Amino acid sequence: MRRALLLGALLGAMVANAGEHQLSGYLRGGGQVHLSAGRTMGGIGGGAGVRDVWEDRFLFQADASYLVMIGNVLAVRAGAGVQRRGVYAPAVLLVGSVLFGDQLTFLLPERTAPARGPAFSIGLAIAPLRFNVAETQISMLELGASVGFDPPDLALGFSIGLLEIAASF
Amino acid sequence: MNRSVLSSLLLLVSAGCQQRPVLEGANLAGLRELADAVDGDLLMEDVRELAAAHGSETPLDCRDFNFADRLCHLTHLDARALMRSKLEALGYEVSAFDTEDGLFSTSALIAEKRGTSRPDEVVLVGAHYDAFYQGADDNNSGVSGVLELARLFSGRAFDRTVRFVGFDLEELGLAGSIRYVASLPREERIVAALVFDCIGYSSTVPGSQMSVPGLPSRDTGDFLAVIANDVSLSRALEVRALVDELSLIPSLTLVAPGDGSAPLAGNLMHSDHAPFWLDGRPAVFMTDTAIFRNPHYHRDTDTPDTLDPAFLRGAVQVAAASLAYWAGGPR
Repeated sequence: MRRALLLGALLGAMVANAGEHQLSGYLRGGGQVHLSAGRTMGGIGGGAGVRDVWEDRFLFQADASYLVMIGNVLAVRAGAGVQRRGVYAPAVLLVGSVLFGDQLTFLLPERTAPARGPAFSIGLAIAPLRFNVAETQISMLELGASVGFDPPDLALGFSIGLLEIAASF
Repeated sequence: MNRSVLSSLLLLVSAGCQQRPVLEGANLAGLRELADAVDGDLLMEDVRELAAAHGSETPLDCRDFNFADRLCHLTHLDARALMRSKLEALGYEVSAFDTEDGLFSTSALIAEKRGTSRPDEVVLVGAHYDAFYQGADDNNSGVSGVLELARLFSGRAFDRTVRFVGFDLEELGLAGSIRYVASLPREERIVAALVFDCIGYSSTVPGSQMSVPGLPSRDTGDFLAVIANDVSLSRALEVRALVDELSLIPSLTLVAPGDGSAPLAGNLMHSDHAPFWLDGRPAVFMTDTAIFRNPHYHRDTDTPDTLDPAFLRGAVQVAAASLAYWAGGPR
């Protein structure tokens, strides 16, 4: 009975917020890597971001993370997507990311100049284990794949988010 | 925005993007002549003599070092004596940097070709002379490369001082090179250090080259790996430019971030260049990638007949041109 009441209150709150913007801040931990024939960039680490949820459905977010393992890297991401309404709220996002900082650099025999500077990529991320509980959102897994361009080579990006905790304000 | 301001900004941006030519002021004809003079027969002769020295010496007692049985044959004394005698035969005065530490006592051999106009600036080339078993690739190939460069450079003039170094006990945790680098005066300017470790094995068989995740590589082990860190990036780019300009053997350049000690770059620090990197000095490591290519690595089958003499000569040609360019010559 108490569980049903709690669920009802949650649903009521969500209906009341429909059509509104809900801002939240979040902390996340995970890893990201950018791979091309010219360089490998990325690492594991954590960071913080802000998110706007519109009409309890559409997500707009941006975050920055500090990554280690291949030197020191700043990862900045911006994304937009949709989530399922309700407590269980898996989401899918279109994410653009930029990595700044250290990298492993390669010059294969066919390549004449090193890939330097920020590494851009754009792709999709899915968060299948994501939950809304009152004013808190928790995501326990986020998988991303993206493509970028390190002239003249195509680059592939992969990301994994292992934990993200958000609080609305 | 005012058109003139905009055009000035564009000019500034384009000027900022222009890179200085990598081989500015290079005596390409002289470098080509020097590279052509690398003698493959002499290189292999040195490899064989060093292999005989290692093979006939009583190895260090492996019980003292907790080696696995497979590695129970590490020698260094006879190869050191041979390297010294060959450098002296070329007319060099050879000194030693000795450290007494019981089982881990080391002795670095040092010979110099003094620079003509900038003698206080040093370019260094080194290789470790200790080896498991006969050590044809690891590291007679590297020592023979140092000896061949010493021979080539002995009759030519360079602006900077060229230093030839034999490192001891690399196989025991880089003991010799760590001590050598720690002994360098802080004010001594090492313009570039070049370290050889395994430069004589190649294979064109598909699948012969292994790598680690995140490092792209050819499938065939027929290239020279040139490894640097961010501090040494310009040196690595110069090596690459010389390879292209002089049509030398194919190279794969790898540049580790920062000082090279990032966890996922650790595989790039397994030789005597690492102490230079950690001391903030520019160093370039040349290798055939050792265990990632050579099935005889650290085995009793690492014998001279397994080496590729043409590849070894090609690797030393790359080194000769690079070292001479850094040294400011030949004049």
